Amino acid sequence: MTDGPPHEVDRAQRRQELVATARQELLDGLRGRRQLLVRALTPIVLFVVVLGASLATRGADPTRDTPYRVAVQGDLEGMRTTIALLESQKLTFVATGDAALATANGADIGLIVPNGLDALIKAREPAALEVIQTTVSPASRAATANLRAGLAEVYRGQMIDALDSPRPGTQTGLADPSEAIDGTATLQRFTIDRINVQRTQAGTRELSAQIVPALIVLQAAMLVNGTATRILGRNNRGLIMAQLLLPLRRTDLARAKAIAELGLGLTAASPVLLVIIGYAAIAGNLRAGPGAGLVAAATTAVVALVLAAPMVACGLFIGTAARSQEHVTLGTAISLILTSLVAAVTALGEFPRPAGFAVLPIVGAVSALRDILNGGGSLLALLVACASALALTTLFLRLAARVFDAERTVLRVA
Amino acid sequence: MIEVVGLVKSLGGRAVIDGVTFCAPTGQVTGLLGPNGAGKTTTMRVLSTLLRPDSGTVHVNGVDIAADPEGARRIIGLVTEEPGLLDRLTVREQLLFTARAYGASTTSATKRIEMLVEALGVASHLDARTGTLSKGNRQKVSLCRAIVHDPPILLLDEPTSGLDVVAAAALEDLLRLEEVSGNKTVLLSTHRLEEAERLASRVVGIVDGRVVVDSTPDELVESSGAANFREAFVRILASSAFDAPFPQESAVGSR
Repeated sequence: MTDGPPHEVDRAQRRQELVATARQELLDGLRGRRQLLVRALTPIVLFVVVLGASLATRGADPTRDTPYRVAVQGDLEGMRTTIALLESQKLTFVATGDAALATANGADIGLIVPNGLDALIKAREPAALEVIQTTVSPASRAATANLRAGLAEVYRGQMIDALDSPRPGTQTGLADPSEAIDGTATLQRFTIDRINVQRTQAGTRELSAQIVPALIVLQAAMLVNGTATRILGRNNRGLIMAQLLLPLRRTDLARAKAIAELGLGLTAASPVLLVIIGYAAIAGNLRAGPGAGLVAAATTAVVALVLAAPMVACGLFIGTAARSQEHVTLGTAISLILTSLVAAVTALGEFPRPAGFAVLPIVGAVSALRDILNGGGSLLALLVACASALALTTLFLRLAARVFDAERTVLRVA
Repeated sequence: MIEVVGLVKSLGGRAVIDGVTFCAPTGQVTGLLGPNGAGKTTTMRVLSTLLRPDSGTVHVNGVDIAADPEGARRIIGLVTEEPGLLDRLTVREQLLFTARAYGASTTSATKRIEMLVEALGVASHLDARTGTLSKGNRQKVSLCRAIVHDPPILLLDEPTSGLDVVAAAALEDLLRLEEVSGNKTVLLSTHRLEEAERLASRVVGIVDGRVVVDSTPDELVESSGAANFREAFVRILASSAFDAPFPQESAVGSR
């Protein structure tokens, strides 16, 4: 090199410098196999425990005082008399267009009724009812049992009426109250077909639309801690000093480190992500064929990446700003709680999600994924959600770059 | 060339560097001497753009480090006491990535790396992970990394601290090599007077953040009337109200 001011650096060289720095970080991280293995196993164990616990306890409410919610598909008005009799069984009835979907969305059971049920009963005509139940939910099972008991009461009342005014050819035996609720139960004139909502298309669609985004968010949230812990450890070993001497702008250095950490994080998360994406693909395929499966898998993969980016950037910022592991723990705990809230509310919640949600980072991506997996949603909403997540990533990277540039960082790590 | 004029830097409300002015010419090794806490390392950090000066100016080969820190970093190489190498990378990978991060092509970087590791005696460790190397060899790799992009400015901040006598002597020999310091502006920060005397053609003494000596070793001995460089320097420091003794040469390697 010669004396004098350095030459201007073009974009290609800046990119080369950034990529070289990122590759160096990534390769070093990928060779830390023990650390990588721990990061890969943690979500697997956590998800198995969380899913197992939630399935085991889902809907369990042994001291429930409120009535069970029955979503009725069909002629609700035509069964008002029956409803009046059934409400003594701690059941409340609401109209719905799709009983299976309503059950998947939070009703305890669904009920598909024929037109003019009251009239059928009064005329002592046979009536076919379909009960849609979530078998893993104790509340759903309890509601079904109550419905059966209520219908038996209705039938018993009908029989008393029949004894008062018997008609030729009428059945007179009562159903066995101990009859199991599984399978098809016949209360003489009431034929009850029980359907497990988890086996219906609507159930599969709704469950996958909820579970997939929730798991993707939680997986992304774990990147915060993994990244922050790694960055802090490296800073404490003085490795950041050599990088601060590189001729990179601080924002480029933050980008390079974020790219490397993203690569590491996604590598560690790949076993879990593959399972989640595969599940989304299968659910999409079952719902509407291979095309839908492909869209579901691609959308899930894109959202996984889009959610991972701000989480890694957040971890980079926390790890760079933190002075100790305690700071990292505190910072990552806050981010994990916030992200879990997003997962719980946006991915699993039942409230309506307006289109404006798309502009909210993280929330928008989760909401867009859920809608697309549920057979709705829009590409525009997904793109807006991606843009908002990338904006959050940029914000965190700028914050991290400012910390890189801060004197206290140099003095601390030196 | 390094030109430092009226450099002031305070840390924690205390002026660690207080009006430091000196010039390190091209093609020479300039020793930056002083006891622990004198402000040498802070000066090196300001020069290497890790810290911003409160006031004063620093130009490295004409580049104002405050106005163009990235440009300055492009022409500076820094070796510190702690090598800061990525343990899981091989020596070759470490050096290649660094050269690429300075914008070098893979071909030119590979050639230069082979030449440097040969000259600095770490060629046999080229494909060994840096985490498996001895401290002396790690410092040699650190030196390779600092000059892999052939910077015209080389800053050496206590490079032999923590090394045993043999390793420190070996590193000193390497610093004299044409491949390392030839035609470069080298600023060597050390508190080891013998090391500075052997390597530096000019010495700048700092005490309490102020320059108390700026001359050649021979001029210093002559003007002080002392028997040797060590005695001359200690006299100067003593007259600057310095009361902390320098470590004895025999203490080298015992730290």
